[in-house]
Amino acid sequence: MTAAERRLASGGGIDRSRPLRFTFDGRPYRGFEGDTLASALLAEGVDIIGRSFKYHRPRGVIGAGVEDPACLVELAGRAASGNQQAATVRLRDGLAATSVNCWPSPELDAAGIIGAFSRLLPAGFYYKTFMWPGWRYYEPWIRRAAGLAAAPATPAEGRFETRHAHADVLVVGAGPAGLSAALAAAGSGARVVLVDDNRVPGGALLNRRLGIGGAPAEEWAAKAGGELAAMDNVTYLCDATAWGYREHNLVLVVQRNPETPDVIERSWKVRARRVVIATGAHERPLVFANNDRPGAMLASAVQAYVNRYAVLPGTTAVVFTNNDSAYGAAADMAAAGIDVAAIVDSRKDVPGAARALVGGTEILAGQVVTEAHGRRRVRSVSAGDPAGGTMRRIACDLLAHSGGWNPVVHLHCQSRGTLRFDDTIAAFVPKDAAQPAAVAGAAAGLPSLGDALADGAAKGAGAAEAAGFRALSRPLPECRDQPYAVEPLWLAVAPGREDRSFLDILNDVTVDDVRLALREGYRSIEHVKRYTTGGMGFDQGKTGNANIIGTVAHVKGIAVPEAGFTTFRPPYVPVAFGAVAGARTGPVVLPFRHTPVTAWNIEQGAVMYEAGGRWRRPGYFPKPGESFQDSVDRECRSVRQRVGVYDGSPLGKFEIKGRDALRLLDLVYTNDFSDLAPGKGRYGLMLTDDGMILDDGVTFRIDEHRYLMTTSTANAETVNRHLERILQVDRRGWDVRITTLTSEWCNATICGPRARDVMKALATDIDIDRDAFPFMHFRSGSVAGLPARVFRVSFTGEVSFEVNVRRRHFRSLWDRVMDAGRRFGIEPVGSEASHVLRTEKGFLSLGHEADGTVDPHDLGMSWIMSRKKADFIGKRAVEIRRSSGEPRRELVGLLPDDPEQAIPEGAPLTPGGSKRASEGLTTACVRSVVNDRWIALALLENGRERIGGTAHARTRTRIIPARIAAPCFHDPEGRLLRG
Amino acid sequence: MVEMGYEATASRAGTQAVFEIRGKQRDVAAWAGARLPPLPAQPNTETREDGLAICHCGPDRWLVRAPIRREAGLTEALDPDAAPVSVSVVPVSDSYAFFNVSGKDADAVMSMVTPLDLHRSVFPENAATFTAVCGVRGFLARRTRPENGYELAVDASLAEMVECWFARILG
Repeated sequence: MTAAERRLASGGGIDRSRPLRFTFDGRPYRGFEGDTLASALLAEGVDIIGRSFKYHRPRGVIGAGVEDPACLVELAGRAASGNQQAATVRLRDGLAATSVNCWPSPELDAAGIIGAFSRLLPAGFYYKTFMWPGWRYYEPWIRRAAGLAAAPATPAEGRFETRHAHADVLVVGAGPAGLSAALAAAGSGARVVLVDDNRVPGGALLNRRLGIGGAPAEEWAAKAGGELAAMDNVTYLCDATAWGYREHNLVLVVQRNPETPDVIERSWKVRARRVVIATGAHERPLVFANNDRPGAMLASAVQAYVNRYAVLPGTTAVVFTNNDSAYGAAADMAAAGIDVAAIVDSRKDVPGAARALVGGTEILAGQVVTEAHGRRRVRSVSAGDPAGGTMRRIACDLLAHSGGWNPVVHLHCQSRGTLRFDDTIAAFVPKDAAQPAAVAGAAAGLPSLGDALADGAAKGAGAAEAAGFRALSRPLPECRDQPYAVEPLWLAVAPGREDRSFLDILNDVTVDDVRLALREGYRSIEHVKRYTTGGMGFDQGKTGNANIIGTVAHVKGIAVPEAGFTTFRPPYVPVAFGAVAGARTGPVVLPFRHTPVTAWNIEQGAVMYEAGGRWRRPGYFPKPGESFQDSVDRECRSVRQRVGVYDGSPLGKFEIKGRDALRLLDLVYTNDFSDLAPGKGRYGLMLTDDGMILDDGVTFRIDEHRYLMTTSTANAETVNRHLERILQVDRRGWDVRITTLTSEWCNATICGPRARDVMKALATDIDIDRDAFPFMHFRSGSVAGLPARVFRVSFTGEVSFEVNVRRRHFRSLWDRVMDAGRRFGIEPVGSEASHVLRTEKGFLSLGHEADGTVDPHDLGMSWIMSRKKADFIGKRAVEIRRSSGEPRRELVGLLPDDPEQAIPEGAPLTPGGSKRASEGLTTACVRSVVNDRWIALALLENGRERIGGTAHARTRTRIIPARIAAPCFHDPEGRLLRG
Repeated sequence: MVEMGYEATASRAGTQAVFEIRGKQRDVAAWAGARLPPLPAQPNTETREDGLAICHCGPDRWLVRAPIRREAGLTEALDPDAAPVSVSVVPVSDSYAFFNVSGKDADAVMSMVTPLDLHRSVFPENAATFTAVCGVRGFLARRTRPENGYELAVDASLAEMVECWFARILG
């Protein structure tokens, strides 16, 4: 049959006036508007579209929609994408697609030789065989030989979007039940979102020749869809698939080809008060040898290609079935010109209504097809009595088979709804809903058109009423339907051919694989799934699950419901990562925060990166010709010898006010705040409930009931949540209110021996003399003509003035500080230098020394654990833990024996440097400008007792001995910072 | 200002005078009631009067907004330092960066930055609330003049990130 002969001259939903050109594996082809890539390739006579996942068997089109398990393609160009189902790719002019998992072509795949050894490659083969010396050595090669498409080398041209939507009623599926539900719900005035994966409404009605209201069913569907699209309270998303059902009726939808220019796909997060799932049913394949050969297709798919796309997938067909629906397909095939050589029906008694649809066609009742023959395409089939006897060989190039229909219960199951097995249709159907949702039509196990329309209308009206609307009754149209009955048939395989009889065609899972899993003791259906991979991947068992379950039941000799069913997981269809991310990519993949001097920092050439709490801060300010270490050393020297300034704006700041504010501080801090006078500040440590350090900071008392708390940058939000939880949950009656001021006030911290000179040069009305403005005090006044709050706190160990101004004034303040400080040699200081300066002082840093495993005693801060207070958060936990007498890791300093030897931060300390369990770790290691050598801080088991001894840091390449010292390397008495 | 494929604009607005007031309604009313529009009865709504808006944005929590030129006067009137112990009045004008989103497609644009249901039946003309905006916490109010749209605010430190969001969404 030539390509021209495969495309019917008339009929179908394609637009023959709009021809489209496309390429597949580099070869040019033609199709029409309305085609999918699969229908166009079928029409052009392309039988083999790809190679299978594991055995590299040739694969052609099997289904006509998302249920097709065989034909993945890669798309190039504008919509570059890795794994797309050919049966769902909308054909457009210039489309460039390539096949997957084959080289050099699907017809001549070099790895096809693997198929010859399939008996030697059963389920679990790889994991059993490639154990030594390690799976990791083989994995890259195996993954290259088996699997899916690679990610595109270049991003798609265009962008993705994510939108949120809200609905009173969300209807998934615009088939007969879905349209009926949407009409009923929308008529009530409810906000309705209708989602359908086709470009035109109708669902399965588009593939069959049925009638509704005295007209062809597709006309009714088009009219209903048009009516819905015209309603203001309806959002109709076509070419869109609901792929995930999350908690609280959140349904995830991906919409292909949205109307917005340059948007490739749009993701929708639809939050609905009620959901109607009308996702229809998928036809399941029958299981016989070589049921994956190109030319072996689902009967409903053949019917769809004939009726909807005007394509003849073959010239001579055999239809193999165990149910009535294939007779309608056979009738449509015959009407289109396909010679139906025979209908092989496993049922002994074929209903008269089914026979009547195919008058004159030979029906082989009570017989099965056991094998399809042909290397690259079906050339004939063997059929006969399954009980034994002579097999008859029937020549054909198309085998349309139907094993019955599986309600599409994926979304229902994702919503945590339960299933039951319905013997009348031999399939799992929804049982109980776990969320405010209902399943309608074929998805609920109702195969007849009339039932689907009625059920959809009832579920749509019910959903609207449950959402608070009054649904109006709407007369149901008359419909012309075909009867449906089925007798389950799980296996039709001749002995010795089970290794070529596929249950899960996507994952190359055969009957043999399932038998092996059961022999090896995998009894649970979930374990069988994991062992064989059946039902995994993008397919999620659409065509395979029921057959795997049926086979397990058949082999074990139990009823199908006893075998159970597996979990359906999202995504229901392949979804591009871009569609999930939406706009949240590139620079906004994570939030970032700036201070008003970010632009200034960048102008100065600062190397910027995140330094906690999502703040982008300057790491260091390199000058031409400087190394990283040169820059950091220079900045440190400026602070130790002259003056430096750093942007301390990101520090957390909170105003705390209320009659119980002091009680709150005394509850969360380990030390006592009751005697803190207004105008003064006090350093405090917060613990978690389990007694570990949560945060540290200085809190100032503004007046009797008002405090200003500062926190670390990274933990500001954590502390805020901690305090709010206490007030909203634990101490609901306390009169305390917290207002976040982190971004309200920005601070320039001027530090170093000349800091006071700079403050004077800035002109301030605050008396900044040491005695008038001592350490750990604050003052309000004017600095550089700007209203300011100045705090005497030091994180560097030098005299420091933290000048806080409103955000709007900060850039101005910063410029004036730099101007005023120029003659004193002021330098901007980045977070790297700050890290050095605090390490020299032994000041703790959250995430370094306080890593969630230490308490204040470990850090040598027993003095901060109040003995006066009856209780504070974490007190009891610390006491209990320490009462065990177990050795603790304590903060110490380390001086590497080689002063020019750095210890990697995080390096473990082991006894004598041997390969034994660690006794601590290096928390910080910096080159100290005041000591002119490398110094480190570490948490070391019983560290304080071992001061003067030697510890050993063990790295991959060397062992670094270091003398254990007190954890302070500069001004241990703290005279400088109080100066 | 970002001009987009959508018929909408998103632009950074100037600083507003903002005060966060916390305290029981009766205490707040007693301290500041005479100086402010009537406190909104419903949570997540605001009352607007004479250029002043006050939003009931959480339990015992209120947000007062006004043009920045009125900040000094409001500071004097609300007198944060003199407020009784039962009421917190904290000037927070610099804590927020404001944006205006307006135009025919403003709803579509907003559906990309917030998960909140902005249908008029749910988020009416006097609606104002804290919610998720561009993946972070933000304040959102419906704007009716000069044209239909939305006013949103985020922590000032996140302003550049939100500008970047709009540029990516709408560019």
